Amino acid sequence: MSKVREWLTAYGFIAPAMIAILLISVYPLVFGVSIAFTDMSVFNYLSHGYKFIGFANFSEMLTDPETWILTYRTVIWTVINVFLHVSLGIAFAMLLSKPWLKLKPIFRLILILPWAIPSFISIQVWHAMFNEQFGAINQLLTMIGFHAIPWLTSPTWAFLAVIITNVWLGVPFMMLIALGGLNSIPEEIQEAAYVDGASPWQTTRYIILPLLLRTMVPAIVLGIIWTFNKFDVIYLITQGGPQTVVTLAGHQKVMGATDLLITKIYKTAFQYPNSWGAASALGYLVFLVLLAMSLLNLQIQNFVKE
Amino acid sequence: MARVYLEQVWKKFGNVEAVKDLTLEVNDGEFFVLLGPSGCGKTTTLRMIAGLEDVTKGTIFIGDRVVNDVHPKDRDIAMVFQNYALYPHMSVYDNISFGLKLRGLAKDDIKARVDEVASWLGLSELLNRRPRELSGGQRQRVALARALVRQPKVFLMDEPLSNLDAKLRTQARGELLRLHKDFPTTTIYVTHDQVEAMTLGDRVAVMMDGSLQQVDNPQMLYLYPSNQFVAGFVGTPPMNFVEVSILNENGQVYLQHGTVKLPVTNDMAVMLKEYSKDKAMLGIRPQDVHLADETRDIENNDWILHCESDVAERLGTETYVHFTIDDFELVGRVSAVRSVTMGAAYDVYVDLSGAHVFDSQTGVRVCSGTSPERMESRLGLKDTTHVQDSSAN
Repeated sequence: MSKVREWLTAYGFIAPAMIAILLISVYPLVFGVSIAFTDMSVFNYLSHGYKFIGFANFSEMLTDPETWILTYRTVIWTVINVFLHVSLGIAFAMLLSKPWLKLKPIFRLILILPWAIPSFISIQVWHAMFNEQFGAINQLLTMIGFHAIPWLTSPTWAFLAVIITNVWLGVPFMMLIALGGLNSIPEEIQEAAYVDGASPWQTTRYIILPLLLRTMVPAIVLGIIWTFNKFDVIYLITQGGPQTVVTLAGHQKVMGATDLLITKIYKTAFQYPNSWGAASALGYLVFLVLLAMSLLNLQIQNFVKE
Repeated sequence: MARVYLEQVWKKFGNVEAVKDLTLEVNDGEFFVLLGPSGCGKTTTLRMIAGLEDVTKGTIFIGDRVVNDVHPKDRDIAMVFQNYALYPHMSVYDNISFGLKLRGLAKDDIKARVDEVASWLGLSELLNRRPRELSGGQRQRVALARALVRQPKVFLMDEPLSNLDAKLRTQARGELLRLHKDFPTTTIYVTHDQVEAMTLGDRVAVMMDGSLQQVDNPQMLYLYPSNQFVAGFVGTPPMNFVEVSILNENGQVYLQHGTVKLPVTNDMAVMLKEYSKDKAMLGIRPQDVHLADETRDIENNDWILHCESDVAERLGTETYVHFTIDDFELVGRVSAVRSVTMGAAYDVYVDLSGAHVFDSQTGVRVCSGTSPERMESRLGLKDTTHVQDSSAN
């Protein structure tokens, strides 16, 4: 009897937390999964006219070449962005921690600023700067004798434009993490390397960078997840456009040149074809990729700790 | 191997003069200790030799080469840091071999040298470990191995034993001595611990406030400190100091403080008769303060004082007793078998033959109870006491 009472008391205490987790975390997850197996859309949701269609959404998704183009592009987008975030962040952090640098607080402030401004504002500013006719970038380029660049109308340039914007947005975060990491490396270790016969470059290459990257692993993984799901930059600058014709396995298909998986999910759900089921299936593809990344992260962290 | 020579070296941090006009010669193969309290400039001096600090003024030679503007990597030195500064992401093997890899040695040569040094320092079983898997003593040996394996011209050591516990420190001190005997490389060793300095150093340089106080072998440093600072810094417990008046009565010289009036030794009298001032500082080592009834050879009965015991510090092998006479305190070393009652009166024998007289203003030693010449004939010692080594170059 007392065993049962004990049991009840214990679960009584954890019940509020369990209910909260069930409501905020587990229920949406399960609901999301269940949508992916239906043809639910904005047209049939209220009338309950949707029905269970098995794996149809998934098989359609997996056989559509666009899915693979988008996945490939999202991976490229993530690799380029995170690589530039991390390398530029480290470079700036190293410059900022040089003892000979004057006016450090001012430089630090300027470098952190992109992070402090609400991102949709700075993205809108970039959008305006990329305007082919009136944008500041093209004005500057034509002034010094170059041709205007079709930033938003050429597929390649548009992809470059969204990358430039996102790199600008993401560097400050990595720089801050790198600054913290650099401060945590004792100066004695660098001096020991000098005395051991290492040049400043070799010291950076063999001592500082490996130690710094270790402290940055969690931030880099976070950066990968954020970048993989980066929605606002694409949506506010190109809306996934410009539209372009892609020929894949003999099929011609019109798709956005800068669409990523995440913008495609949005479009699938809220624009044509307004299919929540298909969007949910795509969402689970993203979820699986990121889950794999997180597991890999755990492995890396364990490895780094050793 | 090489000698290291510092010529009128200055180091300023802003307005702070960390090292002032330092001239030092460290001989080839010598174990040379820089000793002083924290903030005396000894570590700064070492870091200038390593090239980790710029020299504000003056010249530093390693061998015959001026190294003022040479990067640390090109000085052919090895340094053991206070916190060891091991590379945390590398195994013990990689830590030790890093310097050799940078020099482009062949893999087999590197392995042979690392294995040799590792077996020498008892690290062979630990080569695959990371630094954080090692104890403090093991880390310290890895730091030593990293320095040894390079076979540099000069070893620089910055308080390498200060992070070890007392027992390990004594053991490591022995290992360092053995090491230097087997690899007689020029070694410059920084410490604030006078016991380390005395036990390890062929010669010891004492520094204070950025200035060199004395360079000498440990025994001369102890027997003939050049000034009051060195006298007080070297020796445990520290030397007793008391302000005295110099009296000259009927050809006999006395040192007086309050009711205490002590006749000086002949060697002191010779010097004090020519000394122009009538006040001075008398320095007596606790080793020269004994209980009168314990002392077999009392040289002069006038050196027996009536004191009161105040505090007794028992060390096991001996007891430090703080005696008071009038307004001054005198610390003496008493045999441990003797029980000392607090507040009781004792007859204390103060052996002035080991005492020193210092100038009250400058602190410079004026004379000693036994002149260096007499000590030399007694012990076969040579007085090399000098404030700065001017024999260089």
